[in-house]
Amino acid sequence: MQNLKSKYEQQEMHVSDDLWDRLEDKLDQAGKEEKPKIIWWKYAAVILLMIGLGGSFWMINHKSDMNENQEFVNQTESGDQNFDSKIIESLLNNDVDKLNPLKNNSEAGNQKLAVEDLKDSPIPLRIVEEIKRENQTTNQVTDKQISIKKEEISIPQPEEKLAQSEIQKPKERTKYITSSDLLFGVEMDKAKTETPKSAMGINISKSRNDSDFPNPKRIKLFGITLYDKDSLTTK
Amino acid sequence: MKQDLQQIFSKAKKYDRLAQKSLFEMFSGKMLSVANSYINNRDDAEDVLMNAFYKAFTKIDDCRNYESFQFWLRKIVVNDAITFIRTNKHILYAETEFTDSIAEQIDEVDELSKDIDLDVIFREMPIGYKLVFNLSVFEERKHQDIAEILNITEGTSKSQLSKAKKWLKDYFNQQNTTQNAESEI
Repeated sequence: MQNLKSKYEQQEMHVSDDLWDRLEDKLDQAGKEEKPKIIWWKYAAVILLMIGLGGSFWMINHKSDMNENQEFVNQTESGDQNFDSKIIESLLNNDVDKLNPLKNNSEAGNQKLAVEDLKDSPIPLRIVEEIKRENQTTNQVTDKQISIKKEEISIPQPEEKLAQSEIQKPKERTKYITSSDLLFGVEMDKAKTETPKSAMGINISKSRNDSDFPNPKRIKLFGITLYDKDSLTTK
Repeated sequence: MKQDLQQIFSKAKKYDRLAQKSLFEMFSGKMLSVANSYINNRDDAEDVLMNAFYKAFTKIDDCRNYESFQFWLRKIVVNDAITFIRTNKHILYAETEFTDSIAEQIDEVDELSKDIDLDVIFREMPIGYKLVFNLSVFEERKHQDIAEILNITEGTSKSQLSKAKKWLKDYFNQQNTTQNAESEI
């Protein structure tokens, strides 16, 4: 068997000339097919990376914006409260000042007067008490005005919201399929548009009005009165 | 020669076309004869050879050593040739047990091996015998490996080899008798 083996190993065949060209073409085609895939993968990887980075940046920014907004909201809420209270106070002070321009003057003046009157007038205490009462009433009035203004500021918001919701959402009537439509398979739209329900033959019994039915006063058959409305009514 | 092969192999690993061509020129003749020993058709053998070289060049990174490239390539050629035969021809293996009497026949064939023409084996021998004979004798594969490659049992591989040798013996005995008869006439 060794002789056969040695013979076999020595044996060679001549390869046809175009075999290398065919192989080269095949190798070139394989190289061309592989290269674009690699480039495509590169581009895809870059795009995915960009999208990932962009998304992460956006998320980070969005979160920071959200935090900032929340902080801003908290600040504004607290600030608004302070601001409102300040405004109210300033407004009230102004109002009070406007309303009671006489108050301070009158207080000072009245005190002076009272002091002067205490010396001179025979009824000085009355006047002083009256002035004090007047001042108290003015203060009460201003307090009431303050409370009214606060209520006016806080109340109208929910009302407006309710009004807007009522305007935006008009009630739509629900449409139900009737039993006759289900039984006879008549298309709803066609049935409604083309044929009225009375033409279908089977309908839901309408509420009977007296105007729809004939209402004879008298029914005669072969000269005999079968029905007379007047006689019935009179009887 | 070894240094040249080493350089060419290292260049071919970098997908150098000239190096690939030189490797093709070095081994294509031998590999074509190997493929043809199984397929017994030149055109089909060339197709198988081309695909085997294509595989070798595209997956050359799997071959670590330049010295083993020839054997690695030969393995690819043999496997591709067997795959080609199995896909294009239906082979039936008769299951017979390997006995001592068959072993004696093999020893007798060894004596005749000097006179055996290889082309006769490739051309005339039944395909079932030829596959096992080629793998066992020329590729020096063990019956266990042959059984795995051809998806048969080890016993079948042994019996197919013994039958192949018996076929050779009978073939040459017949040839001798015809020749003797012709000479007498």
